[in-house]
Amino acid sequence: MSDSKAGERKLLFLVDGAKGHTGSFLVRELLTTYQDCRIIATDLPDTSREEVMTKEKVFRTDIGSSHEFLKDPRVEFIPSDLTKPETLNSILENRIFDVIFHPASLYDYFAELKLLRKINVEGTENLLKLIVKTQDLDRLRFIHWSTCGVYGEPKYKKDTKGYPIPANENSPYNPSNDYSISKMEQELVVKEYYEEHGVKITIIRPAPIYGPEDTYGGLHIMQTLTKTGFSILAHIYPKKKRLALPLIHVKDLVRAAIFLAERDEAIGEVYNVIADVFEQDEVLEYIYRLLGVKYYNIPIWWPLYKLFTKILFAIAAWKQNQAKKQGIRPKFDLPMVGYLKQNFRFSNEKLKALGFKFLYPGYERGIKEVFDWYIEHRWVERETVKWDS
Amino acid sequence: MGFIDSVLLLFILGWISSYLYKRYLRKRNKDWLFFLGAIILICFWLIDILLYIGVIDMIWLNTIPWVNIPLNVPSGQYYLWNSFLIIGIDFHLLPTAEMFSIAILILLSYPLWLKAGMKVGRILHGYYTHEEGIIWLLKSRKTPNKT
Repeated sequence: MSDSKAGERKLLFLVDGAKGHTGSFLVRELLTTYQDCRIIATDLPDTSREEVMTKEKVFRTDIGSSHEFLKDPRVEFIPSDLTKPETLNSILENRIFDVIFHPASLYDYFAELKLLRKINVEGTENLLKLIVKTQDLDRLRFIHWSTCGVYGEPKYKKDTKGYPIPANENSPYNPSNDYSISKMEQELVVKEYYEEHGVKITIIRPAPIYGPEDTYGGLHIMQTLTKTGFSILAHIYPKKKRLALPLIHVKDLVRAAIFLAERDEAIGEVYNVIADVFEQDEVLEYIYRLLGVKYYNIPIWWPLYKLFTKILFAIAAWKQNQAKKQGIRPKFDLPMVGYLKQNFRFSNEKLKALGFKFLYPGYERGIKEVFDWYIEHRWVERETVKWDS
Repeated sequence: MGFIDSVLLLFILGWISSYLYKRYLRKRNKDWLFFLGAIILICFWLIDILLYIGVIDMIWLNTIPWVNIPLNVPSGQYYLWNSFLIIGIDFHLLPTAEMFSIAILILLSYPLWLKAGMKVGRILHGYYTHEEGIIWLLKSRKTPNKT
């Protein structure tokens, strides 16, 4: 898809969840990629958004993106709510979109399954129903955001030395938390609209997303390490049992979405969007060094490590139950702690085979940039006391 | 103080120093932990050395009904080797000349016990002013917001 493809008319994009982390980067990337385009950006009205997105305020209540990009003349912001089809109708009717990017979801490990289903599954179905009624399905591309979480912890095939081979897009569904269950159900709805209505869908399954402005995940790790100032770095033995840390930089994610929207081969396909595979201990050590956190390297035998993480998981589960009873969010949502005990190793070969080039295939540069951004914007605290001499 | 309770106390004081340093002292002067450690160590060494060489006499402890320091041994040394006399636990360890080198080693180990306490304090409560230590992980958030 190029600027000239539309010929007489400007390309028209719809980006939902435009005030979210991914959505906001997507709008900016589209504005950079297509000088001559129009973008309808949508998200919940601010008051509703604040009610739902409590995850963004776990550590700080004074942070958030400025959304300056919404003031670009090529962008029109129209508030909507996936759970209220009438608000979507006003966006879709009388406009023929070239691409609808659908990153909008409730991505919150603490949210109840009922709410996740209402927003992620029913909301997506509401959107697709209206798309079928109002859009030119020959023209339209629909890029749907899922998650690598739909695989859960896959059963890996092993290489000749017994090391796990990263799971590809054909791995079966095995979601391990409520959020991932809702995303799996959401995918099934999207696939149904591809098979039964011919909506030209492409499903992307991103790994956990990191990048500047991220209020969930990356900020949790950096904030936690900064606050505790201490950590133990476990190096698991035998090496073939080491855990991977799946990551994708937000800029690569939105670039991949646009890249796939431009390729007809991607219609009806599913793609893992994930940087190259890194080991958890490597990445954590890099972050510890960036943050100046004191840590001890401890080699540990896999069964002992498993036992240790089971205990940690049990403590986290107890803290979560306590928090639920008190009506507050815990500092860590349980599935986040689950990353310490599960091996998430996914392949990006299918996306690469299509010709996609990652800007951040490794982790060092991306994480350093994020760290610098957090420090510059004071999202991660540093010592501010000044002593004489 | 006896050797064992000195060691235990040094560990605890190291821990407390670390907590006080992180909580109140670092923001005033970042060398406070060193000062505090030095003061504690000097006090312990001074008292225990004076006890060992007999400058401080502990025979007066015999006024306590359950304490019975033999009169034919240096009372300060007997008190050092039998750490829990005051609470009525008496190991009846009689100091000998051969035990002198062990006493020196124990005295020299005092900084290590203090440092170990400080390390634990640092891990649990943090070191820099913005840190909260591992304890922070177990504290609940206060903001009542829930999805």
